[in-house]
Amino acid sequence: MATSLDALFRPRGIAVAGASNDPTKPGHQVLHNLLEAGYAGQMAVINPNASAVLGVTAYPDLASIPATVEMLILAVPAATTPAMAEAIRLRKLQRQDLRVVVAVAGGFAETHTEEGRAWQEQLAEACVSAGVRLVGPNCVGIIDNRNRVDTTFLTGVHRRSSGISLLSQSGAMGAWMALEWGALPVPVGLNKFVSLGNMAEVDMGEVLDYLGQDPTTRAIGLYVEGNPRARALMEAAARATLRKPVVVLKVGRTDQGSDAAKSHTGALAGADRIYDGAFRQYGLIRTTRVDDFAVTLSAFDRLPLPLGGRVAVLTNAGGPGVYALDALADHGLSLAQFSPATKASLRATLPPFASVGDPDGHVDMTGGVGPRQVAQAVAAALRDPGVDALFHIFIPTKFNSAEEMARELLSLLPGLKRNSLDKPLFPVLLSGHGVAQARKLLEENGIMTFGSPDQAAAALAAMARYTSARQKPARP
Amino acid sequence: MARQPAHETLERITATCTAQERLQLTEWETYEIFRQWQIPIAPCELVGDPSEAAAAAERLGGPVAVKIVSPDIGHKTEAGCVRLNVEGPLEASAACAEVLANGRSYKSDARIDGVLIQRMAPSGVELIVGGLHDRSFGPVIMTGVGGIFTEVMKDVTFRLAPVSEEQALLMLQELKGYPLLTGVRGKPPVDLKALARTLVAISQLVANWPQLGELDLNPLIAHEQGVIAVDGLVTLR
Repeated sequence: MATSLDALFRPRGIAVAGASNDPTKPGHQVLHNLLEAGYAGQMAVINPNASAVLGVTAYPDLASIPATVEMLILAVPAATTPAMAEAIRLRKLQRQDLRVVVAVAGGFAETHTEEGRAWQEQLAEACVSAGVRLVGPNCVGIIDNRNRVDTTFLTGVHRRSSGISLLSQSGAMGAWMALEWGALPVPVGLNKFVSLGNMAEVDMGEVLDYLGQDPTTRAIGLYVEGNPRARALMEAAARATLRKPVVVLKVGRTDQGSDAAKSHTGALAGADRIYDGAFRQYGLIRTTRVDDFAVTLSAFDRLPLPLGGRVAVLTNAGGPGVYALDALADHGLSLAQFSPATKASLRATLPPFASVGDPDGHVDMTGGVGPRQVAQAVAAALRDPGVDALFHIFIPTKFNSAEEMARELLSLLPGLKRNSLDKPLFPVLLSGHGVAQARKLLEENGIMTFGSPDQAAAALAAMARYTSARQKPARP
Repeated sequence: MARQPAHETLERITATCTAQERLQLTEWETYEIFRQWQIPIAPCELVGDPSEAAAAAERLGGPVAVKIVSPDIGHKTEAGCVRLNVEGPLEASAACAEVLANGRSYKSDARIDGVLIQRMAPSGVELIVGGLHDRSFGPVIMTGVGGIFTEVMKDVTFRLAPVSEEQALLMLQELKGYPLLTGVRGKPPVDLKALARTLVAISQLVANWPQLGELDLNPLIAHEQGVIAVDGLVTLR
């Protein structure tokens, strides 16, 4: 069994080859990121032409670094591979500390040149012989926000952690998602971010197994394109979904079957359709949009799983309520059926012109509803055993400001928790600056908020599918 | 250790095709394999001449299909080598003579293995079940709404083979055409358990046949009392 990937996320000592004082070079940015992340272990730079970079001591070669080096980040050109391969062998021989190499630079097999392929093979062979794991080459690398490790050269990385880990086959797609989500009005942080580039040694299946077993990862985001080892990847995903949700975004949806196929089966069997079947088989949750991907992962991270897909919709504005019903239908969710007791309770609580149960499961509380009434109505609906999840759609009015509503909501939730009512609540606050403070208040108190009924529906639909898949596991 | 007959049949037929330098199995060869792998087929016999055809039709009873079996005649219907709903031994005998004659005039040097006399299947829901070996995924199976328009309707779903009975049922439930199986417009529901078990059997065949390229079972007819395969097209890799 090869060395585990622990050293990739919790290395004791990091050396960066190729960090110079030139800020335009990737090596410089990598070192900058490590410092910005707040890596607490020993760092060293390998650079024969400098004595220090960004305050970190530089050494002429790997061998001369006195402190422990478990991770070597290669931000040097592919042409340096012969020298680097030798340095890795030597270090392992002399110090036995090196455990993982993250090769960031391009110029390897992805160039489809003999030279590039040869360098990649040489690098892989050197690492494998030395018992050292190789990530990349040509990779964005990893970010671990809990352990404060960042091997990437990305700028604007959001450093707060969460329960979400993202494994991306594409560096650019991964970077898009990680950076965008970190910049959202309610930023979505990542626990671990992994992008493996050319996958000369460590591959996605192994990382997926690792994330599946990682106790601090509560939800896994997986971005895939085509993959010659698709089956092995799916089997690794199947093991992971036993423990936590795996949400997958896969591109190439227009893959057709083969024109040269002799059979109907061959003509219909486009790669994407097979992937889709495998996702269903092994309980992965598929999304097709990056926006849905973020909100779905967040919901898995922060909300309790629903027991089913029956939704109550409570709104203080008619139009958005109807819009929400469409969103539910689009995502295959159905409205809950209120018990007579719940309907009676709602009618008693709400203003006289409130519409309760038209259609069943939907309540228009009217614009005149006050904050306390809203909170009581939400509680009443959540208590109904026929309700698995609740969408609460809210627009500030002169009778009910967003902050007041938020405060009332916060005051009632501990009571619900005490009664073991652990159902996912989807507050959809509309909109923009006018509700920003209220959303902030709720978020700071651990309540996830949503910017639209579409987002809430996408997230809930994914959760309901996962709940349902867990009830009928299919193992490879 | 003795090899199971099911695997032996697979190896033998694969070897025959390889020796004859062809990738496509005949319908009879396909049925031999189906029988060994628990895939129900409409009762049939391979005959050599019209008189044998008459006897076979008598034994099978009811309307029969009369189809030429030849590794060299791919498009049997086009070649006039398929007659359906043939009633009784006399008609069967005449039909046999007809398809043999048509076969020879379609391709004078075609190898003729014989003529298949097959009991016509009961009416039911037509499904397609397919299998293939994919470079990235390995053995894969497919099922969905079958018939001649299957590639237009595209109401199919895939899984990595082999599958469990539970998974087979889930596949069927995913189809837009699933209500056809549970009964619409006064029609009774099909035997879903038998259908699921047959899907499992086909997935086992695909998973255990490394030389398989593509397999089409279209249609697999599902009805109240079970399922029955009425055709089979197998191409090796």
